[in-house]
Amino acid sequence: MRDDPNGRLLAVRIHGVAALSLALAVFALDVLSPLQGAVAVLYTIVVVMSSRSHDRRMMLATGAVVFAMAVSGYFLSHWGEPLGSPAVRLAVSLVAILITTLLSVRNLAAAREQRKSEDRYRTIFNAAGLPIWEGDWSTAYALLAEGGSATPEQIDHIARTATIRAANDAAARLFGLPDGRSLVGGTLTLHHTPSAEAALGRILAALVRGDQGIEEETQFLTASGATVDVVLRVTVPAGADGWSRVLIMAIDVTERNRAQARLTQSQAELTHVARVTTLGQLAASIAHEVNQPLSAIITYAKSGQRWLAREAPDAKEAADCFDHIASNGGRAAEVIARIRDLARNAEPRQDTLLLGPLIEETVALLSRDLQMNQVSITLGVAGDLPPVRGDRVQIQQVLMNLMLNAEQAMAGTPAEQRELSVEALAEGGIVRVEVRDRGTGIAADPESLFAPFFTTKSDGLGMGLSICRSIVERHGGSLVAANNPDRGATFRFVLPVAQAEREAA
Amino acid sequence: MTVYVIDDDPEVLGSLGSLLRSTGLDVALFQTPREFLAAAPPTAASCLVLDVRLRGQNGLDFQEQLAREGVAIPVILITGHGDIPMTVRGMKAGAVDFLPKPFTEEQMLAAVDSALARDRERREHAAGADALQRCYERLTPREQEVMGLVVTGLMNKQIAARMALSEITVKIHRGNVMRKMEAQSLADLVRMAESLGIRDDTIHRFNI
Repeated sequence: MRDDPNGRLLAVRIHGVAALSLALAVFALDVLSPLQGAVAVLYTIVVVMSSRSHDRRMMLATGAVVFAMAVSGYFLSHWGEPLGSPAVRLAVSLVAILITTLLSVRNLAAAREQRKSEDRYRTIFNAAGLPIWEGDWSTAYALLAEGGSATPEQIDHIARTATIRAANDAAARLFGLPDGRSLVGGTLTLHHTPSAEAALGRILAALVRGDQGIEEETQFLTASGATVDVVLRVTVPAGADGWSRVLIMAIDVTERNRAQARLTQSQAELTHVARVTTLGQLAASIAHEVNQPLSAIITYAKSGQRWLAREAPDAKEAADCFDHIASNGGRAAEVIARIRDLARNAEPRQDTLLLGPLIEETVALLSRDLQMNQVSITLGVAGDLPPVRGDRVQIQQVLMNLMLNAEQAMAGTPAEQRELSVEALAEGGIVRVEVRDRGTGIAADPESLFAPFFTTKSDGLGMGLSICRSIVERHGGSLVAANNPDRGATFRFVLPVAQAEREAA
Repeated sequence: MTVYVIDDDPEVLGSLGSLLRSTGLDVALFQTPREFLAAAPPTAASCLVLDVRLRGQNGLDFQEQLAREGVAIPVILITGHGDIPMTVRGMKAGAVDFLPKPFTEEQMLAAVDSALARDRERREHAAGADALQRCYERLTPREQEVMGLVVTGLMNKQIAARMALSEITVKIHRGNVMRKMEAQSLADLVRMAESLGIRDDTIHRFNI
């Protein structure tokens, strides 16, 4: 009705006529009744009525007209009389009319400002590129006002009663609906996922605590059944009815998360490829370096035999062959010694390491990978682990290798039983770390796993565990493997506690 | 009978040299293709043992360069195990054999023997063709013409008619041709004409 210009005009006219007739009635009463001008105060009603027109000029005109009517009414009734109580009454009436008019005009301006800001809010709400909706969470407030956190049943109940009062088109697009109006009046239960239920619980708990700027990352289902990843920002407006107009803003991070997953994936692949290539190239070039002198040795030996087997044996040529065999043997040994020097130059760093945080960091690095393969992980890291001494990167490589091996060993295990556990504890001068899986176990002799070039994977180099063991041994520790009594295998490595710690103990 | 060896590793080169000499072959050893090209070209049957990995140059590129320059020497490629896919290219470019390292000395000697035998055959064939060409060049133009017609199977009378000569003159020319070409029989002469490629020319020229 308010939005229809013809209707508005009609309303103004009706109000106008009603105000006019009221003014005339008051005038008649004022002039004809014996009430001695007290009636003039009733003109304020006319002024108030005119304020419904929402028109400043109309209100000022009305004020002026009833002012004039009150004055003329006085002169009609009390012409020639000396000034007395009627004049005082008139003055009071006039002041009342003035004040009412001014207040009405000011109210009008305030109402206008309010409407403007309301309009601005609506414009921002509707035009914003990010999904925004207002939810009526009064039920939640009623349930949680007594304090305490919500039970799953209560959360479910809240979700089913939290109607949407307003939503913009971006919100509709997020849920795969045509426009904002299709959300209004309904709830989001159709779009809920277990993750969204859990997030709602956390949001409610935070609201009850009175937290500001609550943010939660969660997942919703769209109308087409796809999932979207969103970050929700929930605000309860100030005021008593804040809970009935809870403002929820969402940022769609689906693409960001996918890109992140792709990035993590390709980084993991790259790391693996890089490791395989460097090892492969290293092996190839070492093989070539050693192969040359060996091939010379073999050929000289065979040649020497032939020189001696001739009808006239040629001792000089044969001796020459022996010389070359000896010098090429030395050359091959030199290549091996150079490789050993290379390894010695890459002595591990001697940082002071806390295994607890390192284990947590490694698990975090692999978390996406473990999640993708549906492996649940349990950590049992003792709180009072003393530091060990060593090369952070190398120890992390050992941890990562053991965890990835454990994960791959469980590829054939039913998803709900894929459990990887990493435990670390200190006992008498050493720290022991155990990586346990529930996979296929070790079919061969556990020791054979650590031999170079032993692999059970189609694309494995068979160097992983062998390198892990040499890293741990260089740190003065040991690495062993054993089958679990029930199923799967456990890899156990120990590292000596850092020297200073041991003296202090 | 010389075996040329190109390998950038002096020890491998020396060991191959010693092995080949122990079986009575002459060897010439080079560490780079450039040294090989600078040496006098082989005059007797020979072969080239070529390492695929050379310092600063790929053995296969050098093999192709030899083929482009018309140096017809049988090539035996020796390769590390990683070079085998490359070596297929070498075989396509006409290498006699390729031996992945480490090879046994029997493999090497057998490959050298067959390469030398192939080169000897090629040289004999080339020598025979040269001799025949020299005999043919000793014929006068008239005699060459007569030879061309004789080997197409025409009788003396027909040849005389075509060349507007008397039959006696044709007989004399024909005798000279047989003597100068050292042909034992008409069949022998036909075979020579075949390999010299003159029979076809005559057939085209005279529409026989």
